[in-house]
Amino acid sequence: MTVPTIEIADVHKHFGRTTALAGLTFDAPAGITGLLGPNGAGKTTLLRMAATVLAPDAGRIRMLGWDPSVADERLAIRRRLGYMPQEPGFHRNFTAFEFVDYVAILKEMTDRASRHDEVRRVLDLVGLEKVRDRRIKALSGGMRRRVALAQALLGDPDLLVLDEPTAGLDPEQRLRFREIVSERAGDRTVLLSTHQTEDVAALCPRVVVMLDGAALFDGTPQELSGVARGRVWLAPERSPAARLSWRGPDGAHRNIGDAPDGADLVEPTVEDGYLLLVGERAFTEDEAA
Amino acid sequence: MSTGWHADPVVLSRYAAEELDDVRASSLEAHLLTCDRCRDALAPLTDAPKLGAIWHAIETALDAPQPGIVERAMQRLGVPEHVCRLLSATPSLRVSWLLAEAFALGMAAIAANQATGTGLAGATLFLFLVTAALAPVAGVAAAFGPGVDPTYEVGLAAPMRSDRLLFIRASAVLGASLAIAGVAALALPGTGWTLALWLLPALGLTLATLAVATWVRPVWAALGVGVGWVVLAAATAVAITEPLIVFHVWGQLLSLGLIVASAAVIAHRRAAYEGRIPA
Repeated sequence: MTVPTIEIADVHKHFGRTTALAGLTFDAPAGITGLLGPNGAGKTTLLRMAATVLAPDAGRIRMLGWDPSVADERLAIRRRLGYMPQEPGFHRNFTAFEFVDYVAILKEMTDRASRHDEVRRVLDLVGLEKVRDRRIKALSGGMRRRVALAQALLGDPDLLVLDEPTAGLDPEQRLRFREIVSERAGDRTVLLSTHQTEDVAALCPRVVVMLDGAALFDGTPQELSGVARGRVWLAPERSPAARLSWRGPDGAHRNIGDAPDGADLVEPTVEDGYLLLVGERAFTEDEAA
Repeated sequence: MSTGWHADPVVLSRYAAEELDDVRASSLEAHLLTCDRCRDALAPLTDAPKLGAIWHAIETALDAPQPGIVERAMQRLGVPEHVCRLLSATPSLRVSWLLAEAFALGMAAIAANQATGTGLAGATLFLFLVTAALAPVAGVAAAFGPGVDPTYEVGLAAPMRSDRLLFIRASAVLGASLAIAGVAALALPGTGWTLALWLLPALGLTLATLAVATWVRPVWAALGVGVGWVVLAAATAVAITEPLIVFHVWGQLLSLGLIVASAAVIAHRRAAYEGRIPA
């Protein structure tokens, strides 16, 4: 049996009157675990806890076998952690190289020569070798996210926590991201949140769908798409039985819900399963995003 | 790529044997970067791993980012390279911040100087001393913490302790502020202790800011300490009709007490700088 890298048991977190996590119980073994959920579901709160920057109000967390509420154990976790926040901040006057170099020092890499080798390595990995001397304020949004990913990869960490790493990346960059992360997964643990169900289907052997601060679903992408099996059908128009429906590029409506008799059922996708689980609320919020 | 001239084989041999002086070696290395033929000629004269290491060292040196003015100045003062890099990300150590601080304190000192012998002498000197004591407080507030440091969250998840980063930055800011205020104080009228009356209050207020920052964000801590200081200085000046009373013996002793008390609080609560909400 695989020992979970991340163990979260009955964790609660409140920000004022807002409940971010409501008794979340969650394990993540080695490999890639994807978090899906509408905005406000608690994904970022969970990832910030996994990154040791936020403590729960109640509940138990263990990471890599250590307790992040104990200072020495938290330090041990941080030495094996790479973290990319949802909105990474930059010193915008730094070049890409200088910024990653700065984070490398925060990661206790004090020897200049070996540190610079490592900075070059991670910038090459994310495909920024040609712009590493360009100031961050002159980089595009996609390039900045790659700079943020590069700093998370410093030191080849055992635990990677990535909050919406593919937001703002073009399709080619997303493919490159999948390549980088899948190469690194192996016996390491990657916990990532995303709104891109394609990324989950392509990358993650395991997916957790969160809603209102709790885990609504925990399984494989195939199991998630299986939630919608027999409940997705094509029709010339929106079906009254559909909970969700939209017109595809071929003009046919893709309906999700309780299929009527004789419906033209189609193979569901991860997105279908996700939408069926979280319902119209997620559909609306994803469109707004 | 090849250039129009090529290195003498004897020079290459001496380079491989590390017998060339630094100037000639640097010149040859610059040429080797653009001349395939000379690199090929050099290759058999040295063993491959050694040559690889040499090239790697050259490439690393050429590729490394060039430090800015403040960073170079700190390195000349003996500050380790990685600490300089950490400090270069401190807003209150940027040239623009330091120039603004120098301008404000310089103008206050010149005003105090110009007012010598007039009815405004005490008030302008009071203004300088109060401002000089506050300068490092403002610098510390802008040195660290959420809302000020854009990489705060990434830094929090890194192994370097937050209190260490804060103390490194606060020490540098304090040093820079004290140096600027010290130079500006040379323009003050009078001599001797008058020039240094702000020193202990500045240290006390800075440490008090760091101590309060174990409960609230550094910006709020600085604001609270700063407002408290101005109110105290102004109130005592008005009540006792002596503008500099807060800088006299009792004021200096009070600053000393503030330093000791703040240091004790910092030592006891330094873990709180991490900003994590306890479980």
